[in-house]
Amino acid sequence: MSSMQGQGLFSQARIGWLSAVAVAAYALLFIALPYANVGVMSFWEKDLYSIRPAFSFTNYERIFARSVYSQVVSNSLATAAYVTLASSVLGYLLAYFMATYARRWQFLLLALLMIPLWTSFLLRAYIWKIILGRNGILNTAMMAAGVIEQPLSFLLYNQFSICLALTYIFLPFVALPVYAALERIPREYVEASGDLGAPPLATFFHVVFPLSVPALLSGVTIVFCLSFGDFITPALLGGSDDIMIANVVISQFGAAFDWPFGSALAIGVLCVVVALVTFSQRLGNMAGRARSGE
Amino acid sequence: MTNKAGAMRRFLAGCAAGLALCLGSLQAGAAELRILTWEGLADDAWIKPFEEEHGVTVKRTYVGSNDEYMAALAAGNSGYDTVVIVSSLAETAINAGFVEALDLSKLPNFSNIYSEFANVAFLKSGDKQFGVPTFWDIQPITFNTDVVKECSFDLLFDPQYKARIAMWDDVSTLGDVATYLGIENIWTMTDEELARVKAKMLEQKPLIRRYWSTGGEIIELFTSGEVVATNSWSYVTQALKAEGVAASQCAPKNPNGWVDSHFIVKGSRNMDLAHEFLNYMLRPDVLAQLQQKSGFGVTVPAIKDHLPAGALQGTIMESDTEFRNSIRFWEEIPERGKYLEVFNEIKAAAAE
Repeated sequence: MSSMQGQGLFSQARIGWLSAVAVAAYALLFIALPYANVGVMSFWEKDLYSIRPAFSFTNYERIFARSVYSQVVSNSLATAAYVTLASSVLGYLLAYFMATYARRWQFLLLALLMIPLWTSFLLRAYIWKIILGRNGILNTAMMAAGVIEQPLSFLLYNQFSICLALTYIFLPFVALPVYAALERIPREYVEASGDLGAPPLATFFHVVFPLSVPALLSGVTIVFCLSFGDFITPALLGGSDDIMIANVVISQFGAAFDWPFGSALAIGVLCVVVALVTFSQRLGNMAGRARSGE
Repeated sequence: MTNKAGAMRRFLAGCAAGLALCLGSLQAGAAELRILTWEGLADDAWIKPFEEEHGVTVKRTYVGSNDEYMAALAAGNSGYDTVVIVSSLAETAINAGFVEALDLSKLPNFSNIYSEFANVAFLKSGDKQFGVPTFWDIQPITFNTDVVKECSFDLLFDPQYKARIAMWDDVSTLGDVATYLGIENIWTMTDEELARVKAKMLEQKPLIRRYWSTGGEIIELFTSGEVVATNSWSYVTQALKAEGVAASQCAPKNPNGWVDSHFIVKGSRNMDLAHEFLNYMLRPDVLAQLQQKSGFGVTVPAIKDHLPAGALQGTIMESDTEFRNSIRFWEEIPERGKYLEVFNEIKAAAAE
């Protein structure tokens, strides 16, 4: 067996080399080239009926000159922050419960967490319309129970409904990695902390939580980036003042026919996301160094 | 080694078979007409007979907004043969080279069209005709008759309907509000005029439940009781009535309107068939069905010969030449980007 691994068509070295080529080709074709294309186009100019190759900063100047874009970015960042906070707290609590107390319910809870991931994103956002609408499940139930006389309109078509749906959609992105991290913590660590006289809360904050921070950070980063750039949920559940940056970007690629400006906005979004990921990685590294006592 | 060679031969044979299938399907594609249109404008009732008459398949792709088909056309190589484009984007599509010039000798039914539509400038470039005007309408106000008793454009600014009003998420809405404010050149507004429109729409924001994008969305907003009035399309009113919703519509005092035209997409590999389709879509019996189904106006007056008496009562088709000439049809918006920016500013502003 071992002799076979080192030679022939599928030797370890060749598999490694082929994997590297495949990954590089994927990154080049599906990440680098499209973004390079968008980056180049962001410096082009739009005439009345055509897009002209140029090298101009006009599109970027326009982003900073008009307050609407910073306003939309702020709104998107705020929405992403609320969703990230809610997903982190709920996701962590759920993961902790599953890893610590669930025992025989563990599999069921994991299944309940993962099954929605097998359905369409659109469906998961749309279902909240059915729940929160004027004639939706929630209003109908509360009116039937006599809790309210008139349907509540503040449940839907506002930032609350966007955040609620996004939290529901992205919760597994925090809960699953944190659960995996908590599962990997040796029970001896927790027992040793208790044997040394630490109360449960101190054990959690000084032993368990620090060991789950990298997983939490990765989940937080994914949720924040996905929420910040989401288009479907605000389009479905947003109200009259819940426009987000992805909606603005997409509007430039349609009837406005202003691909250069849309590209500049997209590059702006990319810069924000890269900055966030970098910041998150730094935090992760700092947490890692703190744990190892450097 | 022998096994390897056999495996290689089998692999190559498989590849060849796959390639043959692909080529076969490409050739079969010659009998398929791909159309990009709005839902409601390509019903089985008139598409199936065309397929049977010509022995072809019509593959329909529906758009939900003007943004969608313009993005598809701008991307190039869309593979579509025909597209329906609104009057305000026709010049952009022609000048940007998204569409083909038409051969009018292949469109004998072009002579069926109202003269005031047949000669519109925005469908021509030089001496060439690019679009075939097919559907038209004013932009009405759709309202729920159970809740709203009097209909006019004022209704959309009435505080008693707080959070129950919708507006179409399209720059043409700025034109509607501009008309309401008495602004003359609604598609070439000055900064000061745009600011007036913006101020009026910001004042309206507390009344707005949603800025809607697609027909399906506004129909759902009405059926679920979320909204009671909107600037709209006749198709929406018609669809709501068909669903049993107590809905009706009225025309604003100085209505704006649109004309949708069929175009052949640049690079279509089915030019003759596409011309056949455009010509078919100008047949009075076909447009009679479309008018009854959608509620839109159509550009061929002879549809009345194919409908029972009274079928057009209360529709836009009852209007006379003077009324049709009085409608301000959507035109090219030279500074569309600026209009869009103003609309985004309105949408981004907090509702008090």
